[in-house]
Order: sequence, then structure tokens, then C-alpha cells
Amino acid sequence: MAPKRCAALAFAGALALVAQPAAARGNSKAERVDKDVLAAQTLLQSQDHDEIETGIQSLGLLGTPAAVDPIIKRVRAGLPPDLLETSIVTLMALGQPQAAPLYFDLVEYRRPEIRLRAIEAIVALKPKGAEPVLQRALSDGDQKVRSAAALALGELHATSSIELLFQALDRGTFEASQAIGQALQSEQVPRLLGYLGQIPFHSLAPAFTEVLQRKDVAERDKLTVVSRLQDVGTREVKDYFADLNRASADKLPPPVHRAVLRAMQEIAD
Amino acid sequence: MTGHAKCAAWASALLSLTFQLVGCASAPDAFAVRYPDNLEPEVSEMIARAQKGAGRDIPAIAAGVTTSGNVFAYDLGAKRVAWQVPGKTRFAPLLAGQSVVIQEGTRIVGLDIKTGAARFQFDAGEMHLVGADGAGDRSVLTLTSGQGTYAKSRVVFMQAGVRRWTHDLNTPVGVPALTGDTVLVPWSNQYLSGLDAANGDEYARLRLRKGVVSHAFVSNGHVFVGSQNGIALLSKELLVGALTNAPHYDPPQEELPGRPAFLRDAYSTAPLPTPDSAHSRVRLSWQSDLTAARQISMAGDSVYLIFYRFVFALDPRSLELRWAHTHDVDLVGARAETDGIVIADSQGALTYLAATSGAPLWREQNGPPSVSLEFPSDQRAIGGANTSSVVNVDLRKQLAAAALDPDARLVPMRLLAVKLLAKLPDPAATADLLTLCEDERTTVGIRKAACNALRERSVGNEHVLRALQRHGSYLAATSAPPVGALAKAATTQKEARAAPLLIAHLRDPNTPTQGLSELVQALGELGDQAAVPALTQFFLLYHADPVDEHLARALTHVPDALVRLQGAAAHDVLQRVADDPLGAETARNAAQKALGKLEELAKTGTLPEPDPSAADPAADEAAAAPKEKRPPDHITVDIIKQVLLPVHDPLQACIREAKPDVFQARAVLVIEDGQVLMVSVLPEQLQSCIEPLIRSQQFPLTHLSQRDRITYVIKRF
Repeated sequence: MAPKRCAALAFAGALALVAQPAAARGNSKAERVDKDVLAAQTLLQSQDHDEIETGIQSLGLLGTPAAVDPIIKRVRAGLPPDLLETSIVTLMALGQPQAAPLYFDLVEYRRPEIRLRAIEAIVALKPKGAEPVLQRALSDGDQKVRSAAALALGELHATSSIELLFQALDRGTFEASQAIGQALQSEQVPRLLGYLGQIPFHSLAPAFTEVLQRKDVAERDKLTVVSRLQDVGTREVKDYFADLNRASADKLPPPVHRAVLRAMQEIAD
Repeated sequence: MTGHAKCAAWASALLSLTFQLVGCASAPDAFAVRYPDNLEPEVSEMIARAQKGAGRDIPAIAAGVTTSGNVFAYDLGAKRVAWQVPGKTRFAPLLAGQSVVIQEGTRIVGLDIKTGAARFQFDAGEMHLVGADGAGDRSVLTLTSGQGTYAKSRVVFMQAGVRRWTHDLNTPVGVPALTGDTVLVPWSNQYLSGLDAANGDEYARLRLRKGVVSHAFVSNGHVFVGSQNGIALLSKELLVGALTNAPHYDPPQEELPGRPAFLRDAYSTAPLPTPDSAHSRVRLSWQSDLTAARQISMAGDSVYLIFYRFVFALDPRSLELRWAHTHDVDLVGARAETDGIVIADSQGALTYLAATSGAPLWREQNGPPSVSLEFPSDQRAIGGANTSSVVNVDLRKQLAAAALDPDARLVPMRLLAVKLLAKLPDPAATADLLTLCEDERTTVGIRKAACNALRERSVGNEHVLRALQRHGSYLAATSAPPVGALAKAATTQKEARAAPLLIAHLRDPNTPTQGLSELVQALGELGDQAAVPALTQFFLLYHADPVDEHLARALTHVPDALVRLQGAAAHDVLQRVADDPLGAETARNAAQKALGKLEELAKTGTLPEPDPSAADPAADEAAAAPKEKRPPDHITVDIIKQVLLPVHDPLQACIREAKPDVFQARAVLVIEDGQVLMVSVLPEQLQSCIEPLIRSQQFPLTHLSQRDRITYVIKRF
């Protein structure tokens, strides 16, 4: 036998020897996970509060997609609020898309703190179909839920929600301004600038920050923003430019950065 | 003549003869204790003389008190203020022929009705005015002090400003009438004396054995007597001794807002109202007349309820509403006339409303701002005869306007308006009640009354459905409708189209929980199977987390609704909740109770079978195989019972033969996909006997294919 062939055979044999325990280990790992899921499911079916909680946490620690369905089913079977919240947090940690329908349903749960958690989970997961759910939440009776929904739409860059976000801003949900900054198109910049003097500047500032940093917004529109803010010329605007320069100078196109610096100099103290 | 009347006539004739025989040449003093009453022909003579003088010419002039305390007169014919003089009158002015009678302190003053000049005045001492009446330049006044047996009263007759005669009496006295040459004076609750106007001699006395007489008055050419309890025609039938023997009218007993008196109580300590008292603003106004059939009727076939800014024309017998008028400002005077009612408001406007419709026939805004205005009776000249009113009465709009009035003082009348609105068969009245029910600015009592009335509406379905389509939305600035009341209305109307709208509200966190109890009940009653998944989801999701007391209460109604909709198919869901120790006690108890009901119904064989095409709690997952016999969602106690039937006796033997004695065993079973994964038995001594028996049986597969943990109790029988 040629030496090369012998070496190849030996290498293959050695590989086989190494691979077999690995395969066995993989199989046993899958089996272990199944067993752990089963055990956790049994705990979920318990009538004891602490056991259920342990079950939820155990599934969270497993971190596998198989852990998701048991939690979803248990939530739908009804849980006290603390366990419900634990479930949502655990599902968030698991980060699996099959939890999305549950999140969508929980955005209409009758506790605002659960609705808030559900919105957080949606932001973390960014599932398909979230936009209409979050749009409805803009009309929620709870102010925190509305704010969370507005911010969430911004995180999702929900451009089709821009009109609703402007409405929300009109109705006093100031968090909508950041979302508007994240989602608007260039041609909507003038509309955003129209709110100067109408709502507090500190509520609008996050929107301008987003606009100035976005790569898809035209430079001329950014320069328009800087110019209009310079026209406002208040101490608050000057401080805003200073903070922007400190935190995000590298994210601004050079002409815009220069315009910001110039505005800072020209606004009186 | 009836037998009783014949006796009375004979008795009075005998008495009269007796007086003549014993030579009583001089008539007893007026109001003397020993005066024969119910004597004939004296009483008939009194009636005849009074009736003869009943056709009086009353000046069309009203008298009132301004906000600054002046006394003024308003000429209704010329529709302008006639005069105004300073004054400090204690009471609302009284109209007595050509005089306006007021009391200033202890002085009684009579003012000329056309000029306001003082015609007469005298000191009343401690007495206060009770009533007055007049014709031409003659007036009769009654005054009193004290009450009951301590009362001291006086009757004063004035003519051309001069006192002609006076009678003092030690009893309470009522409101007199001057009709022709006769003065009628009610006194001491049951007496009516007829006095000769020329000299004050009493020539007849009527005594009632039943009923109270406190007023005598002339209306439409007839003489009436009565009190706040009712009135009767002054006629011979009264000789029998009761007002009800004569043509009479008794006002309905139903309490009206403000409880206005039909006639003021002349014998009370304060028979006359002060000018700014509530009497000016809350009163009944009416004008009595006599029909050809000798029955008492009311002009316009109405009595008018005046309550601050409202005038309600009511049927005199049934109090059914004819029309409602809402005025801009408080009303301070009102008088029913032949074809309508004249009203005066606090800003000095006078308005004449048509009897048939309440439409204004004329209005004058030239009086002074006032607190009281008293109108004369029998004023045909001021009627609306010149303008015929052919206005369709929109009673619904009138009532809705009254009910919606924001004035908090008017709540009693607004409640009456709601009550009357609720009786209207017009579907639009449902919309009016809905508007009131959801108006957060309106008084709570009105809202509640409107919501309760809305619940009972059997018409107006489209209004109910339209309202249910609305949801609370912060962006749209809309609020949720009153879902509870609307849900109940939908069941009253048997409106099945409401079911999907109610389901949407059940799921909407912007719909307040207050109405959810009625919403759940309505879904059960409307019978739409599409409600089952929503109700099941709601029950399961919240049974361990009743967010507030309203939702907790709503949960208790879900089991009954599910039983109505699903029958036996509701069993599993109910069992799950009943068995869940983390569930709220109220929800669990309700589920348990419903399970008991299912058992009862199953025993009696009356268990309603659910619609085979009914939606299932897991309808989405079962959509692929709707026609197969569906496995149970979970293993339940009932299923275990069925499965263990074949080993029932051996299981009983395990318990019976255990030492020491036990009465039951508790087994915890863990079952998944038909496999028994675990059996744990207490007391432990029975483990080895019971476990094999349980494991020997085959459990069914479940639809949800999840692990079930069930506690099963085996009792020793």
C-alpha cells in the first residue's frame, strides 16, 4: 500500500474514531434537551406557583426553540400577572419568531404593564406583522403604552406609519418625534420643522438627531434643519448643537458638521 | 234626591222651624259656634247667589315683585308695564278685583290695580294674609295668626277703599271668594260660610264631613271649593257632606318633581309664599271648568307643571305628557288659560304657550327683572286666539332637550323627562337615551337613569349597533360607548348583529371593564357561536389575573355563557379553571357551579347539544378536520372517571381493605399522549395497590398533545 494511501486511511480512521463519540455526544445532547424540556413542561403543568416559575425559567435557560411552545401554551392557559411577566421576559430572551402571535395578542392585554412588556418583546424580535399592532397601540388609553408604541415604530423604521406618528405627535405623544425622525422621508423634513415653536424643543430634539445622522436623508435637508434651528437661536438649541457635536460629530457629513459648528458660534450665549 | 239628601233636607227644615218657633229674631253672629249648618234652603240660596255672581269681569293685569323689591303691575291687554312702586312686601301680591293686596310688615296695603296708588291700608297686628279675592271695587281678605286651636283669624271686606265690615274668629281661615253679593269663606277645614257682601251677615253654612275645604274660587263662570286634595263644584250635592258627592276632580297621587301642591295649604303656618320662594318657580297651574255633562275639566285638557325653567303640560288624570317647554331662564309666574298658559320669566319676558303644542304664540320682553308675577284668572283676552298654532309637537325632541339641560337644579324634572323619553316608541329616543347615558358631563343620577332606560329599549336597534361600532381611541379622540347598557339593549332587542361588535369590545383594552359583565351575559343570550373562542380565551387568560373587580365579576358570568352556547362541550374549559388553584376564587367557583349545572342537565337529559358547526376554542388548529370526532383538549377528571370505570371495584377494594382505615385516596396523574407518565398516591400505603390499576387502563390522546397533570380523588363508597 502506498504510504500516502496508508496515511489517508489512518487519518480517516482517526477521524472516524474522533467523530463517533462526537456524534454520540450530539445525540445525547439532543436527548438531554428533550428530557429537560419535558421536565420543564411537567413543572409548567404544576398547580404550584413556584414550580411553574421554575419551569418557565428552566425553559429560558435551555435557550432552544423547543422551549418556546410550552411557555406560549402555558401563557394562553392563564397565569397570574407576575408569572405572565416572567414568561414574556423569558420568551424575549429566547428570541424565537413563533412567539410573535402571542406578543401581538398581549399588546391588547388588560394590564398596561403587560402591554408594555409585549411591545418591548416586539421591538426585540422585530417580527413581521408588528406594524399594524403597534399602530393600534398608538391609540392606547395608557400614555406609557402609547409612548412605547411610538418608539417601537421608530425602531422598526415603520415608514408606512409616519402619518399616524405625526397624528400622535399632534395629540401629545412626544416620543413619536424620535420615531418620526427614524422613519420619515426627506420630503417630510419640512413638516417636522413645522413643529418648531409648537411643541417643546427637547421633545423634538431626538427627531432632529435621527434626521441629521441618517444616511438616507439628503444633505441639503440636513442643512435646512441646521439652518432652521440656528434661526431659533436659543440657548437650548446651542446646547443641543454642543451635545450633538460631542456625541455624534463623526456621524455627520462634513458640511453638516461645519454648519453645526458655525451655528454654535453664531448663537449668542 | 237620594235618601241621604232627603234626610238632610228634612232635618234642616225642622231646625229652621225650631228657630222660628222659639223666637230667634236675630241671626247668630257670623262664624258662631252654634250656627246651623247644611240648612236648606239657605245652602241652596248660597249656591244660587254665588253662581249668579260667578260671571265676573277681571282686569287683565298681573302684579309682581321686581328683583329690587318693588311692586309692579303688567297690563296683559296692552302688553306693557302699567306701574311700579317701591315696596317691601312679605308675600307674593294677591289680586282682588281692582286692588293689588300686599303685606308690608304688619300693614296690609291695597294698591289700585291700574295706577299703583294706595287704595287702603290697615294694621294686621300679628296676623298675616291668607287669601284675597275681589270684583270691581270690592275686596275680601282673610288673615290669620297661630294655628289649629290657637288660631286667630279675621275676615275683612273693603269697598272703594273703605272697610265695610270685619269678622274675627278663633279658628283658622282659608282663601275666600267674592262672587256677586256673596262672600264665601272656608274655615276650620270643614266649613264654608256664605256671607252677605253688603253687611257681612252669615246666611248659610256648609259643613263637610269628609274632605277638607280651604279654598273657594271662581273659574270660567263657575264656583269651586276644595283643597290640595281635590276640588268640587259648589253644588247641592255637597249637602250630603263630601266633596266627592259633587262633580269633583282629584289630582293623581303620583309624586311630581318638586312635589308642587295642587292648591297651597291655606291652613299652614305660612300659607302665602314669599316673593322669591321656590313656590314661584315650582308649581302646578291649571284652570278648572265644567263640561256640559257636569264634569270638572281642565282648560286645554292639561295641568301644567312649572319647574324653574321647564313647563310640562300633563294630562289631568293620567299625567301623560302632552308637551314640554324648556325656557332660557327661570320662570317666576304662570297661569293656565283657556287655550294655553301664560308664563313670566325672571328677565321680564312674558310668553304665551299654546295648550295643544307648547308653541309660543306671543312673547313680550318689556317687563322688569322679577322674582314673582301673579296672573289673574279667566283671561280670554290674552289668549293666543289671534294666532292659530298648527305646530307638530315633537315630544321626543322636547324631552331630550329637557333631559340634556345642564342645570343641576332641574334634576328632578330631568329625571322625569328621561322616564317619559323611555316610554316613547320612537327609535330615535334610543339615540337620545344613549347620548345621555354616555355624557360624562351630566349629573350622575341622570346618566344612570338614562343608561337603565337604554337597557330596556326594544326599538332603535340601528342606534345600538352604530354605537357599538365605536371604540375608545386616544388618537381619534373617541371614547368607548357604554358597552354594558348597549349589550343589555341588544339582548332586549334580540339583535344578533351585535354579537361580533361585542366580541370586539371584549378584546379591546380601551373598553372599560365596567360593562364587561353585561357584555358577557349578552353574548351568552344572543346565542352566536362565534363568541365561544373569544369567551374561552377571555376566561382562560384572565381567570388567574382578574385585573380589577369589574373584570372579576365578568369572569363569573363566562361559565354560564359558555354553557348556553356550547352545552357539554364547555366542560373541559370549565374543569381546567375549576381545578386551577392559581385561579381567582370567584372564577373557580363560577366554573364549578356551571359544571354542577351541566351535570344536572345531563342527568335530566335536557343538556343542550352545541351546534355541530360551532367554533371551538382551538378553532384555528382544528380548521383542517372539522368533521372528525375531535379528541378532548385535555385529560380531565371526568375522562379519568370514564377510563377507570372498568377497574372501579378493584380501586374501591384498595381503599376498603387498607389498614388503618382510610376514606379516600388522592392520586396525582401525569399523562401525555395517552401515556401515564406518573402516578403518585396518597396515602402512600395505597400506592402499590392503586398504581397498577390505573396504569392498566388506556387513556385517550388529547388534541393539544401536551402533558396533563390531574389530581383524582377516589372516595370510598
